[in-house]
Amino acid sequence: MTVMRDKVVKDLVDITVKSDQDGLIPNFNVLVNQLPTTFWNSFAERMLAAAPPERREALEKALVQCAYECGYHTGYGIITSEEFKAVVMPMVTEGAKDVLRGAYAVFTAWGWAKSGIMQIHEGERMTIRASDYYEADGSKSDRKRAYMVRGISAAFFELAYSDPYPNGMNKFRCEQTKGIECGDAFGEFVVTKM
Amino acid sequence: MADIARSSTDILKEISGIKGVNAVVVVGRDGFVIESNGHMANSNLDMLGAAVASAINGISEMGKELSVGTYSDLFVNYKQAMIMCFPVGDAICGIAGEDSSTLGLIRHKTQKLIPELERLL
Repeated sequence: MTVMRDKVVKDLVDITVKSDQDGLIPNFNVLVNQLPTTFWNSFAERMLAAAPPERREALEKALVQCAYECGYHTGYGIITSEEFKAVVMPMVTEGAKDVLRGAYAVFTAWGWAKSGIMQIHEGERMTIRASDYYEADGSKSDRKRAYMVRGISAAFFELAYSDPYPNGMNKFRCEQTKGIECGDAFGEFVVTKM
Repeated sequence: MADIARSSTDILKEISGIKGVNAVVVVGRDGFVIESNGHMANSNLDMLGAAVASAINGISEMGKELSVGTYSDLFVNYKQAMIMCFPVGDAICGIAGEDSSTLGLIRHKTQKLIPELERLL
């Protein structure tokens, strides 16, 4: 037995969520919201378009950092939530690897990226593939732009294998090696030690 | 002639091109479809991936219980399809075909391709 992602996805989409008066949805131990993906994509696109060319790389790193910090803290909230404990944890038989599998199933169920683990060397390295992710939507690009998947993947890996929360940050990095937005068939992301 | 490096996508295309094969998927043990090629008439490849992973997890558990080691392949024949599975490292390669009439051909042709796929993944 291991975490079966189709079961996780099916169970999670059955959960009814309702936002409060501020548009925030208190679920999974965190506050989430629901906005069109075009909002998030145009947010990044407009910032990058406004930046001078010599600042572009630094801005891209900052976008990854935003996703990374969010992923680390909200990721912790998610994997310690009652929902995760109820839906995913009963299937966890392989420790941290299974928790990661569950985390990517949640990632998929929430519509961020249809993604999962392609290869893993526990505590060392992980390769993620995504066959669909919202950052690939829109026009083709010569630059890989899945900042969110990169940041979240490094954060998830640290939650699984680094020092216990909240002391495990800045131990791993994630690079995007392939991108649907660049014409590849899928996105590919490699997490390695810093 | 220069040797052109092949990708996992090329291997899956080659498997998919074998006579009698309809679809091929490489899935993680959690049922995540890492890569696929082809199509199934009665289902989709995500469902094939989830089903294959679920079956192999059960088969692996049985191997552990019986102390007979890890599985080396799995073949299931249905009225309207046949499914074959091979281990590819920690992942699984699932092949869906029309029927078992071309089983020998598929086994023969995949004999070299599966190890190559494992190296690439």
